[in-house]
Amino acid sequence: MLVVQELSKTFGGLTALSGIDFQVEQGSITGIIGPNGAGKTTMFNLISGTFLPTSGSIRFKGRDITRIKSDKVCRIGMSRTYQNARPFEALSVLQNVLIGISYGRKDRPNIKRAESEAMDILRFLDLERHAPVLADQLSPLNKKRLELARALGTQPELLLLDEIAAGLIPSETLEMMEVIKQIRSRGTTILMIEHIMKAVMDLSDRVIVLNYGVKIAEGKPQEVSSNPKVIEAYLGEEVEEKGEETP
Amino acid sequence: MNRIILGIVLLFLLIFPVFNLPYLNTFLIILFMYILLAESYDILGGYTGYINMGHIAFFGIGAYTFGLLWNTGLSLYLSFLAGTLAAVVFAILISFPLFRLQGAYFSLAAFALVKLMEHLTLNLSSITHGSDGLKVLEGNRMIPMYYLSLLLVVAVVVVSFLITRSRFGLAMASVREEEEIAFDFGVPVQRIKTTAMVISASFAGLMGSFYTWYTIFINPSMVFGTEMALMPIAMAMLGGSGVIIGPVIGAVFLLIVEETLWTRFAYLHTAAYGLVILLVGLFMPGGLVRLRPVRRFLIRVGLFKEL
Repeated sequence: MLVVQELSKTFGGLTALSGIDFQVEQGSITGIIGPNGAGKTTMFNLISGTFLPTSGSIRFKGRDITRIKSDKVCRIGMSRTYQNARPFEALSVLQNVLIGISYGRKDRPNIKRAESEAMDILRFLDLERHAPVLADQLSPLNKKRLELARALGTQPELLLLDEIAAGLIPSETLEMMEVIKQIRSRGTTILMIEHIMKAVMDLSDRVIVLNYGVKIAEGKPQEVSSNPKVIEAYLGEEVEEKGEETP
Repeated sequence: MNRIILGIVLLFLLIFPVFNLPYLNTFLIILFMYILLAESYDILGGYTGYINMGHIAFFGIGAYTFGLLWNTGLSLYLSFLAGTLAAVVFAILISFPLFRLQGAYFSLAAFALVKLMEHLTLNLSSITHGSDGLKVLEGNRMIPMYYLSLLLVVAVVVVSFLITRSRFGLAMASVREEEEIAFDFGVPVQRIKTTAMVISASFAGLMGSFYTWYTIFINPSMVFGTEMALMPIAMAMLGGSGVIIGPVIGAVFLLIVEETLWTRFAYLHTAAYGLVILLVGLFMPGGLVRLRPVRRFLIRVGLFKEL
């Protein structure tokens, strides 16, 4: 579904990503992990068309989207959430979702149909009773849900989730994981950046590990977590800390 | 409730000329003009969040285009049309460079355009007669002007109302809130901004044409002056930007204050608009209509429509 080849991005003299290759299979959940500054969000920005890559190519559904900007990429069938939830704050929850539905798709449903679709999505994400509330009044969890709702409104075939569980308490994270599973079972392919290991390891079919802008490992979650390079770069510290905490 | 109130106000304004009160009639014409400028400014400023300090350039361009063309013997209606179109064309042209800017940079660049127009009209005296100003055919136009400006005010309010209920309005608000994200969700950001500016400019351009026709005489500082440029912004901000009735209330309030102060302190009103923008920005950023009691009242009577 998504094929990334030799993808590189430099900002001035800084190389954020270099020579990244990977594929995302239709219907799968792929996790991207890596320490802070590894280039994960930059990669999302390249795939979704917010930034143009310095070199390399991105193919989505067999179509070259390397130089296509985010508004078109969205209409082709890819949508995303943001690391720090960024809903349209002075608009209501319903209006937020309506924007995704009205502009982010090829078919342009009329307002009535768009509204009933938006309500379906809000019901699915348990946001229905917040529909008329302004987005900036929502709790952090509900803001994350709203981001998801807005993205789902565009009927994406590929959904990019940028740390959707960040900042949530453990029980909320579990809930969010359940929602992501349900979205996948409806046929949406998912590519997610996540820092919470449990979420990535439990959900992902495949995991890609980035460090300093380079892909250092890729594979099934168990394979990746036992890869010495990964442990060195990232997981090693986690394991040690956990070992000390549990007597 | 809101329909009843609006109906009564409109009916009153429709029959008002019957009372034959020339002073109040003139006052209302000026008030309509100010409301129109503030409200049309707010189509761009309030809904897409671009504070257009150059709004009055559309008005002035409409005013001059009308005057110059009507003087050549073009028919009245075609001259009105030309004044409007000139403002629209100008809006389309400047939208490309201007909308590459955001925030204060956009506002200042737009303001610079007003000053540019002022200098052009002053110095291209072979066409515009410079500071001598432009005269058009005389005539008593009190009553037609009254109804035309009233019609325009009603039109701009109706257009604003339709915008708040449309997909287009939703897109405008998304641009105001998070422009980049709006783009990520497929909103054609540039087109939305340009369209908003064109709608905003067309009203200002038409009003400018009426203004020349009504006052018979215009000069550069009357239509491109700094005070004129700041006025619609001050009114919209004071009343409440982004709420349909906000600029209307701001215009009524400020004009009444101005009329009463003017008789007592001759030059105070020239500083008023800058002061209002400053103070409102600091202490009442939501404007009058968002003050809690006012807001509650407006919601109760159904007149608080925002985007």
